[in-house]
Amino acid sequence: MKMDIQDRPDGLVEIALVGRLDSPGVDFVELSLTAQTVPRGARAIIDLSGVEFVGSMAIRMFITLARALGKSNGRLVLHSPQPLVNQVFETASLHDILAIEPDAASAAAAALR
Amino acid sequence: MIATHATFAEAQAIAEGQRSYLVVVHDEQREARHPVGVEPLTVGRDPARQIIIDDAQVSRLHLQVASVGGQLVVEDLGSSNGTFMDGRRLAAPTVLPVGRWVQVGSRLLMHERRSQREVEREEELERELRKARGYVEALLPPPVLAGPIRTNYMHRPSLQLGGDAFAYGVLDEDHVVAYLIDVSGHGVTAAMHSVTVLNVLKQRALPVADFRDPGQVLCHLNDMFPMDAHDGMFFTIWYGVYSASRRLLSFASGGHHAAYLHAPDRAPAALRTRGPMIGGMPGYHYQAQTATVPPGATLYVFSDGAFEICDAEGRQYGLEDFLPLLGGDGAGKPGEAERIYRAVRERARPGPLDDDFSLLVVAYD
Repeated sequence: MKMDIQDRPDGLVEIALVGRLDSPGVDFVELSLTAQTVPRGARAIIDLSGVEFVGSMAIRMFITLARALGKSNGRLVLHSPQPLVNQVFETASLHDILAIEPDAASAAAAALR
Repeated sequence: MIATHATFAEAQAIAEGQRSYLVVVHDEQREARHPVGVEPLTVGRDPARQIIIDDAQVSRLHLQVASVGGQLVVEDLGSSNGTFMDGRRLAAPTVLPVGRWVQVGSRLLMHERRSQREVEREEELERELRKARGYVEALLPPPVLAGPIRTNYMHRPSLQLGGDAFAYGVLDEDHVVAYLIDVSGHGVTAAMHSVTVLNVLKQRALPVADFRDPGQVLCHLNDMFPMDAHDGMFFTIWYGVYSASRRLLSFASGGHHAAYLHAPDRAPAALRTRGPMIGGMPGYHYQAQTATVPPGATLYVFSDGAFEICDAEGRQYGLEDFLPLLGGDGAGKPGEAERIYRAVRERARPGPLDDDFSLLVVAYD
């Protein structure tokens, strides 16, 4: 599992995840992801185009992170999920709970809204 | 003299008091853990071996394993059926890296490197997992082998123990219920959460809920188990109620993929309603749908651990890969769930499955 976090000039925090977001993958990124976004109430967009699998712990992590950011005037938007990952999101009706966009541009627009 | 080790990490592990263990895994469960030193340990069916494996596919003297220069080396000793790593039969002494395994008959032999303290902690955790696993399995109903509605199932918890559980039973003289839940995460906490939910459903302990109405049941579960009040845990569920007099199945799902209804001479029907996982969205209004159950139909309800597997090449499988295993000539017959489990195991990369495998098969006259 790899994670890259960058601050953008427009104030967004851009995060790219690569690998499998199964339990070990979530263990690897969750603490760092939370520490680098929640304390500063970040408006964060997460690029999932490099994520080939998400398990239930990843869904739990995204919901928990989105709620924590929401409480501190931040926002979380996921974008560019691969088809198998999007199928998991659809099954979980995650689109009703989280902001999920098809690409980076629409994710940035949603996060800045 | 300075000892040499294959990698810096191995030298460091030894400096930290770690040593190598060979862990015997069978049907996703750890059977035993054996410390391995420089003196070779022999493995086989013969009671004289240091590691005895009671399996007809295993030779009386099958292989030996020893720590050589800080590495674990496995050597097949001319066994009849071979020793396999990554699907290839070992032809020479081979290094078994930490975290990898060889296959011997129906067993996997995994290489772990642990300190004594880590082993003690893990064995304590494994005892807890075994207890939790036993508790979940004790709540599963026995298969129904005769009558107008018959069941068979396969429940194989993963090594870490996931949160799968299921049940079925009679609600009244006309209605039979079946459901499957899958709690997020792994370990004792997830298993105990699934036990709590299962008990609520089995004891019909939801306030005001008509248990014949799947939508109503899911709404009440969602009120009772918000993830914020349960350490961030949520669960997915498929819940169905069959009316025998109307041959009608009423169903609802929360964050769960479809169950599948197969019937002779008809295309399989995917039975799913839209709705988030239970506990994830307070106040969500779950609604049920219905499907007619034709004579001779078979219903398959399963967890995502049944299809979210990787093969030896690392290819990720999904639901579409699993569906062709359902139905056909053996539909609804005793042992079908086990047959499907074996087919999934053959497809999956060697080693334990990552998640619980749960599959419930319900056959209707």
